[in-house]
Amino acid sequence: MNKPEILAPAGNIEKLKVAVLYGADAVYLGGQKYGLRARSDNFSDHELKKAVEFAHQHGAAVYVTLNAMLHDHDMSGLEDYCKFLESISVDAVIVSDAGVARRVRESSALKLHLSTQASCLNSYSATVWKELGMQRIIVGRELSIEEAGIIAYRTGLEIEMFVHGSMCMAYSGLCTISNYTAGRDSNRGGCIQSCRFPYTVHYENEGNKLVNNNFISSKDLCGVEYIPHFFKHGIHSLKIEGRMRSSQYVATTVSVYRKLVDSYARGNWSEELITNAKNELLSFSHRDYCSGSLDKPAGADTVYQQETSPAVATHNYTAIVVEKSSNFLALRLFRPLAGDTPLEFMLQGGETIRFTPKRLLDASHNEIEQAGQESILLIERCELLKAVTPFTVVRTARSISAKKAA
Amino acid sequence: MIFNTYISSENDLKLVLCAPGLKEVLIAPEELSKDGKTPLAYAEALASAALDAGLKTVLVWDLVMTESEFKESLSKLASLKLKAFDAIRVSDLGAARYVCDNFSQVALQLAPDSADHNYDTLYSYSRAFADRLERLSLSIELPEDKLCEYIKRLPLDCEILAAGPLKIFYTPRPLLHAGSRRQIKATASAADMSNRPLPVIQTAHGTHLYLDRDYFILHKLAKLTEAGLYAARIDLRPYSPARHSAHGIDRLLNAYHNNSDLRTLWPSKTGSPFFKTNKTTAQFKRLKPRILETRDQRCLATVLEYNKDKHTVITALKDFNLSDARIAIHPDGRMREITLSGCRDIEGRPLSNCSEGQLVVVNSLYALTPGTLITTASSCT
Repeated sequence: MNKPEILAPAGNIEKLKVAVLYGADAVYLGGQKYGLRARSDNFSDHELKKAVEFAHQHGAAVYVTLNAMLHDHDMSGLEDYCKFLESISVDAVIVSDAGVARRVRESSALKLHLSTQASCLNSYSATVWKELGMQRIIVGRELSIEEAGIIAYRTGLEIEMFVHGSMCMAYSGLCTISNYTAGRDSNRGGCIQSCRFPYTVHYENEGNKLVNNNFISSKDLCGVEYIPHFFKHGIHSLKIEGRMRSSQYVATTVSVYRKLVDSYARGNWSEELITNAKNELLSFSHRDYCSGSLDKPAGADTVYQQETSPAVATHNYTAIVVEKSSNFLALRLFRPLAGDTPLEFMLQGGETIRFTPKRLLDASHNEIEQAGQESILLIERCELLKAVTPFTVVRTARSISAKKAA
Repeated sequence: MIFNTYISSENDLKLVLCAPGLKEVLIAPEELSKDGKTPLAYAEALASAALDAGLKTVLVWDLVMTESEFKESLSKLASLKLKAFDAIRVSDLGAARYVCDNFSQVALQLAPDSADHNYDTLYSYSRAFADRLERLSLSIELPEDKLCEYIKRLPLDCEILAAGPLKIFYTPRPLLHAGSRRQIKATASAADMSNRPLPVIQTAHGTHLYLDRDYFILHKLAKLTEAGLYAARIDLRPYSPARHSAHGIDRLLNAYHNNSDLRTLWPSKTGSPFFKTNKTTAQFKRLKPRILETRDQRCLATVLEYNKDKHTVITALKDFNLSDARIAIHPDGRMREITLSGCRDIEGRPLSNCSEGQLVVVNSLYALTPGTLITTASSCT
């Protein structure tokens, strides 16, 4: 039975470690150049080398994005960079255009994945890309799982599909609003997210109707219900979007999809499993979810009209465990924390431990009533926290946080 | 250099025949083309009439297609007798492959929607479709000097949009009216984009947004022509009455050959955003994290907490001797010399060395904000 890979975003080294430790089979990330997330932390060459070492030690693969649509002058240094990526044993590179693919092939033996930016949506197109050296196609989000399966069957290529996260409303790679309205090339990492702006729409042939809305903003993708379909249609890899998202997002999405894929592979599949997964995916901020085109072509109901705020979430990302010593756990806080707030430690096996520290200590061992954002908090270890290790994500239930703040 | 334009009626054909230099017509059936205006059933007759009039005819099949849509398209294509067409123009690489493999009697023209902005990509297309590809439509995001270079270097004919609407967004989703397959027009404006009124059109193929200024380089073709540009495309479809596509092409091309002021004849505001230079590149240096390049093997640690009165906490990025930490590089790129003192682990035990991943608590270092890098002195040289 084909068991799809869980492929997670790694915006920086911390998120990479979180993704791998929470169960990702592979991660994708960007280096200093040639990628699409210009504002993301990304990885220096040194960090990339360490990232690959860490991932490989834990049995995970690393795919590096070279998926900006490059102009001639952007190609400078690309061959050397490919040789470097090959020397550190990167598992594959993700490209969007045939020119970059050609340079990669000429300079290295790196495996090539076609980015979703190329909007490859049919088996004839996939065949062309196969001839151009691709071993995997990250198909456009307009494709159903069944259609993607047909491409896999007809071409023999590995097929990767997005399973979770934000979605472009446009065909990927075919939106240039940023280029022409803000002077930033959306296909070279400068997208200004103009699809998320509120627009005033003036209908010309419907009685001059005027509407204010987010009519080109897409709901987020959530594919939890479709795990059996990915198996059935031979989809090789399930991709989670979100290199700019938090470690909480990475930990949660990876854990959820890991559990679903493993459960289905073991023959355990139930409505309860899906319901629990959906509830868990409400824990971080998101737009309303939809299934995109996974089952049938996405319709008007997939437009995000802000029925709920994008910030809606059942939990806050509170901290990450950065060190474990004989007596303490050190937590790096991302938001203020009051002394009696129950913490939820999301263990890397999927279990969550709820724990309220008896006392909070700062890094100099002074007892404090409240810890500030961007601070290191020490809590005393106890039997309950035995399984907590570095890179464990810590969250707090939102209603409790809200009450404390009030 | 020849001109070409879209036609969708007998009247268009009459206008085209009065347009000097116009040697080729593009026939875009509604069912096969994202901006098509010609009923499929009429496309063949129109093409035959154009052929009889001595024009080259091109069938436009420029949809971006899912596996199912591709199949649907093929059944529609099957209803056409392709002998009325000299070439088929496609955007989808899959359609290009299909044409090569199945329609040996017609030439292939490729007009990619994607941002194909480097020579290697364009050359790869010419190789992939070998002698079947007769023409490549180049991107309007390429500046004039690059267009000239590619026209000269590529082993096939090139085309460029000389005047016409500038599509900036294309989705298969119906965004103006759910479930409707008829054409719906609107304008959309966003305060975040200076309320520029962007034309929006929903068709059976999805929703399209256009820039509020049309692309127009009709008066700037000299260098491209000199470089060997084969065809210049003029798209008057938005300014033609329903079921027509070439309204005003005769006046425009007569004016072109009479050296008249062409821009005044164009029915909308115009621009040529990237024709002189593509400045989108300049933004990238500003978008990149400023200290990215300093995050190399000389980096020893990064600051996690700055507590003005009590301590600073750093995390070690590698094993190192704490006395080697000499320089702090702030997130904004500023550097300053530092000396770590009172180093201890989280248990409070004194430290002189630390290992990768370990937290080190030190006496407070003024204004070392989280994210500041700690390096050896040699990092600055």
